[in-house]
Amino acid sequence: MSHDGWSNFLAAMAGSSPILPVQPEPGKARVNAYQQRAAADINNNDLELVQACLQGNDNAFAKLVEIHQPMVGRRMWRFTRNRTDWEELVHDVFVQAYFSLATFRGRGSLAGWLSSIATRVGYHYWKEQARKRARKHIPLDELPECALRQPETINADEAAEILVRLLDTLPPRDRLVITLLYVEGHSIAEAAKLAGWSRVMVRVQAHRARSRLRRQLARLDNPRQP
Amino acid sequence: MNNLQSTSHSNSEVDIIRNLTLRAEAETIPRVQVTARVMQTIAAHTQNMEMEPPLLAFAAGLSAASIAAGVLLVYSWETLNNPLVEIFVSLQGVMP
Repeated sequence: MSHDGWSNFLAAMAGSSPILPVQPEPGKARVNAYQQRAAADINNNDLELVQACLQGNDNAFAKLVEIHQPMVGRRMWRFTRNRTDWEELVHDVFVQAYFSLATFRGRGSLAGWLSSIATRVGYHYWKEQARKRARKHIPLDELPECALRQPETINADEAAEILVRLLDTLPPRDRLVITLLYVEGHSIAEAAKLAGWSRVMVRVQAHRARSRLRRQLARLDNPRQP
Repeated sequence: MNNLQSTSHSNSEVDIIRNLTLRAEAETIPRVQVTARVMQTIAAHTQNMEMEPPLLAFAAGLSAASIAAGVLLVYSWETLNNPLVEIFVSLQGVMP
């Protein structure tokens, strides 16, 4: 297996990026087979634990939490940088998952199912935060423009911080669709499933979110523009 | 990455998001450990749910008994005040 293939697979398992569809190249068909078998093994293990949990074995759920909390933690880190709120969100995702475990049909992966719950928990959090804030959005001119245009001049942690602050200027709905489509790289169908929206709504919302972001960036370039 | 792409207007805002995202991929994310707290919360919820049925049954029984008692009370009150009752009582000694 090539280094790239294993890197992609391990990164996907660690939750740092979604599993990308790999076009089989000549001689590399075995890479896909290994990946698929490993993913199937993980899925089977999850299914066994889910079944054990539904039969009353709470230790099985504790194991599921241990397995998936890095992925959920990484996901919820996109929704807040406040450590206390972040841990609370991760906790809420798993508690909700426990009490709705009977609805998991096993058709997709448990990680995908948890991602849907995480998205809804995070979105609810953004809406709550927007309600609490005195002003709706943080003005874009408070962000460093050179970092926005040339992220290679800053390190990864700074880039992540600026990305969160940039997205924080958007209303919750816009922020969610931008995050799902352009930060996490989901397709329209996947984003619709995660957010619990229709595909049409995702498209419309994406268009509005991009327009809003474009207007804000234009104001950054031209501060006199209303 | 299978994203929504639009060629009808500028993608600079999308490029900014994507470039920042790419740069941020290597960020250090703290470790989270919520297993114990999650299991505590679940145990607490489960315990509350287990206590509910006996309480509900008690409340249901109490309200049923109250309704029955109320109906009897109303009936008794009406018979006490109903003049026809006196006639029937007086006829009890006459009728076979």
